[in-house]
Amino acid sequence: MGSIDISALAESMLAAAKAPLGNLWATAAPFAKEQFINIGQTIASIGEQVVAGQLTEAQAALELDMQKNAAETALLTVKGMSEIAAESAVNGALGAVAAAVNTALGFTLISL
Amino acid sequence: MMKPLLRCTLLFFAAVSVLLLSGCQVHFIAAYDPVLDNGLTQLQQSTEQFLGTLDAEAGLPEASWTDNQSFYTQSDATLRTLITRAQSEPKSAIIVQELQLLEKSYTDLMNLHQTMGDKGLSHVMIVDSRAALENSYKSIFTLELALQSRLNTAATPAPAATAPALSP
Repeated sequence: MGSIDISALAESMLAAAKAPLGNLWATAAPFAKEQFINIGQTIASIGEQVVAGQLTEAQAALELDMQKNAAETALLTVKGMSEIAAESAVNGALGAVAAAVNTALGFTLISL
Repeated sequence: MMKPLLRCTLLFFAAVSVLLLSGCQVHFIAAYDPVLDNGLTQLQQSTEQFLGTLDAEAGLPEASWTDNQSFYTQSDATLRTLITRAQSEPKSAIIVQELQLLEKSYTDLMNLHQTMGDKGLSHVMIVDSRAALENSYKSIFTLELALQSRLNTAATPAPAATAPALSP
């Protein structure tokens, strides 16, 4: 059996995650890359242990599921961070005009 | 299909309308919850301690599945409590999903331990499981930290507006 290329594994995961993230990719890439490299290393280790007879296939499936959960959690964090960024953009835009609007109206319409 | 720029513009104005009607900040995701953060920190700490002890006792009867079932019962109870708490918070879908995935990983670890019976988890199993759990925790804490930063930013008084006053 050939050895598993961890970099290629991580790059494949990154490529798969890139399209759904769209414009958020630039922000998410460093965090996602670090997480996927860690996960790729463990997946490679699991494969080697099965070949060496240290893990049964059923046990490997359980370990792999834990890695999949970790990868999915990383993507959810990226999604959450993008929502915070969008929220911050909206609040920032409104914050920039709050004083002017409130002064013009004579009462606090926008309170941030 | 709607163009992305048009969609973003409409979303922005929808958000602005909501804000103007409510007169407060918009929130697309749940607020930072220190109780949840502390609960997860404690659970990770007890898990690290559990895995460290299992590693030191590998091959001994103390590391067997039978002798360690209580850890899984306790961690499951903790996670279920945290999930229920998160579910009660508005806009918490992402956090709830993260906690549910963490719960799945604990179930996987329990099933893995069970397959080993009296022998207990091997060193490599502990290393791999610990890596998966630590990666999950790292992701969850990264989001919690971002939510906490948002809280701190919101609490800071906004600088004086530089925009000119609108003409009446």
